[in-house]
Amino acid sequence: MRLILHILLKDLRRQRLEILGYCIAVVVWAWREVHPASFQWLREGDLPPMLMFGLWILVTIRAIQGESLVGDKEWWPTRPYRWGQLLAAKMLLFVMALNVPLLVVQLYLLTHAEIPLAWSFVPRLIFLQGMFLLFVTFPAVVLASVTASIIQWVLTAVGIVLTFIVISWLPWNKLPQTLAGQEELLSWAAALVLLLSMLAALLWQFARRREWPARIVLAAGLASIPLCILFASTGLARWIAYPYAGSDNSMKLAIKPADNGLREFDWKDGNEIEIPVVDPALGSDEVIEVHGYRLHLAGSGWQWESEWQNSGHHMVFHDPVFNLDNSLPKWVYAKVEQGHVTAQIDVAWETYRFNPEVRVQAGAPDYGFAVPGIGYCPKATSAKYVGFDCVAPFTLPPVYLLAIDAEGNQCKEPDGELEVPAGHTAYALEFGSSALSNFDPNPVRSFSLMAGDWVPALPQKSGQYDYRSATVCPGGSFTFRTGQPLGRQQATFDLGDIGVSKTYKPNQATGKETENFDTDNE
Amino acid sequence: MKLSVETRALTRSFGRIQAVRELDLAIEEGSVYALMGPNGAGKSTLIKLLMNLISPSSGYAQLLGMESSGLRGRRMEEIGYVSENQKLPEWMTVDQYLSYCRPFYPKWDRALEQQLVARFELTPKQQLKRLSRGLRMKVALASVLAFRPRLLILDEPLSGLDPLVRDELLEGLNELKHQTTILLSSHDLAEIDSFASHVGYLDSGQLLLSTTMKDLRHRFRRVEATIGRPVETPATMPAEWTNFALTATGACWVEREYDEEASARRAAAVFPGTEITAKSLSLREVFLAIAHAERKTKGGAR
Repeated sequence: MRLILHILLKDLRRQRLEILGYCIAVVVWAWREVHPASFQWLREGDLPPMLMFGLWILVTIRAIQGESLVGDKEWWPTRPYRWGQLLAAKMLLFVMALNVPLLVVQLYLLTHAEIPLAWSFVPRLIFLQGMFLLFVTFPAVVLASVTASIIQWVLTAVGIVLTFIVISWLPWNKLPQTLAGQEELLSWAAALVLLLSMLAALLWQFARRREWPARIVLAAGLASIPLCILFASTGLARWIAYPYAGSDNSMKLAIKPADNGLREFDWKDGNEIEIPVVDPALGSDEVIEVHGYRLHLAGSGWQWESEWQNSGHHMVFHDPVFNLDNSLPKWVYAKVEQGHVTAQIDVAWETYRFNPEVRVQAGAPDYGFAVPGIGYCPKATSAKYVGFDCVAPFTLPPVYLLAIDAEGNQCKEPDGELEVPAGHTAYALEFGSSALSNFDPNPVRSFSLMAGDWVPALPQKSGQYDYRSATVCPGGSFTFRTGQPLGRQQATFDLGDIGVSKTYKPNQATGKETENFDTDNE
Repeated sequence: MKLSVETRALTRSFGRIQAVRELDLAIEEGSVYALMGPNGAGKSTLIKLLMNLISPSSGYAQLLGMESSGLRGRRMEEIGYVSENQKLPEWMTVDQYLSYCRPFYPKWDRALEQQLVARFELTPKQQLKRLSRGLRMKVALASVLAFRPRLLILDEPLSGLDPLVRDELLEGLNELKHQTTILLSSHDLAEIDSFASHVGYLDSGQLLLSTTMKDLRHRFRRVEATIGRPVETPATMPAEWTNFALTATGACWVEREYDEEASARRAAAVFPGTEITAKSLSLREVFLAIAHAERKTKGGAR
């Protein structure tokens, strides 16, 4: 320990000016975070965070290359340095000189956002510092350990970035689409391979100082990224990310019955099919996030199967429908038009479960209030706008549902608009993160209390629907539910006969097919 | 005989070039071993192999009974190393550098450190980057002498230094002579002549000669033959002869395996009826003789 402190003090003395520069950059960045409207030029090109992380990396490189691990002319390898002590001293330096100033500023940012500090923040703050150590300091350290100078470091970093660009240019679009779970698996696999190769290179360098084997290990780590991408696109990866649901699968999918009792399909431009699917058994405390699906069609003597398609649809109790949207080859479309066709879908999804609902009373404009389980709404945003801008520490919940009902709505309706009648509710379903904190130097997350359209839609005098959206106004009340993920699964569902001859429904006014309502085109 | 340094078939290749070839070396404890050889002979590579600064392609080396490939950390506490082109932490002052090195060595002698600073006339508050080459070598030497190493390895410590600084450095080393094994490579043959107890000659990565100075002085002699009649350079000469030249009274050469009787017999065989006289050689003359002979051998081989 004595030698660790001895080396640490030497580095602190050597790098005092860079560390001071970094501390100033951290303060400037934090000041800009809390005064976003001031000094607009500081916002240009994100100068303060770039400066902050630039100096962060500079301190890291100089500290490691202070006892360069490359070359045979350094004075220190012939001294009784213990590599473990040297590495520990450097890590202690990074924590003290880089993480601690950031931590102090993060506490200030939380306090400034009027988030009361709590002991429960300790693991989250440590986690956040760990993320910066792992994803900023560690790669910079590894690269510095196999390079002899800052210029070499920069050139190597540029080389790595170029390698990633070249990798991204490879014809990955020829591979099957990967779903969110597979993407996450890819991220984990790639991160694991890279971190392991970096760790091996770093330990090798510190323990043995043989730069070429260390560089080869690093290059092998980089070269394995395309293999990870290939793996992520396989059925095996999909199966790992979305295990098959067993008999206890509570999800049931069926074609949404039309109001008139007939099945209803919307047809797009000849080659596309859109099938509204509903989960009639969806619980009021469940959210299904459909990550992807694959459509099977079969008729007499033929069958066709689509590729897996990405999807971002959600099914929740107030809106348990999602539209299967598939392009069909012309020959399949022709078959579908001709007669009976049975459909099956493979669906990959993630289930979330809501916690019990909490009713929250919004305060007067000048008084803040807490939103249990998520964060705080310090006060009304400004005199100009109604509503609240709210803040949360570190991260937003994996899923949360805001519901504003007509009874709790205290917003003044615009002139000429009708009051929202009782029985209408507006919802906002949002997704956050399961991690202890987002990977962001600023630990303050913001969220708004804005909901979507009123459900059911508000009728207007003219007979047109009123798509007014809802928000929480001072004095109003709303309910809030947070939730957490239960897991990912995949299963196959029979949709039955979808033959177009059975379902074609001419539009009474135009004589054409039922018009497709596509919100994307609005 | 206890060995401080020992190598067996030590080899280091850089691509196709073998900088050190199958080298067997043994340095006795307490000796001062001068490693000689022309530029590019492999002296620095050998020393870097010994200090585990580079790894061998094959073979092994031991220092103080420890395998060189495992030489790091605590095992360095008894080994000092100074090289002419070693990168020092230039931002430090002399004082900071010595203070920084101090806690790494349990046997660091603070009094000796102060003596060395005074003897080498070092200015404690001066930054290393502002020091001349000679002063930097003195600082480097002070930082390794202060912990009284059992083994001191010096790679060209004297090259490029003015005679006064060289004398001061050698004086500093002289005091350690009997308590420390010293291995140094140098071109400064004149100084080593009076300083080294053993000598090795390295060329093209091979150790051509490794012996004591006493033996070297005995074996290498300048032989002058008084013949009394004009002679020509003989077509064939004994293998022990090198640097042959004709003189006004006869001929002279360097005998590499001098022995009073055997050398006289060899001279008589080439120049019947001749009388020879033998003189000792300086280390520089020995070095040149070996270098010439080696060059001749290589030329002949080509």
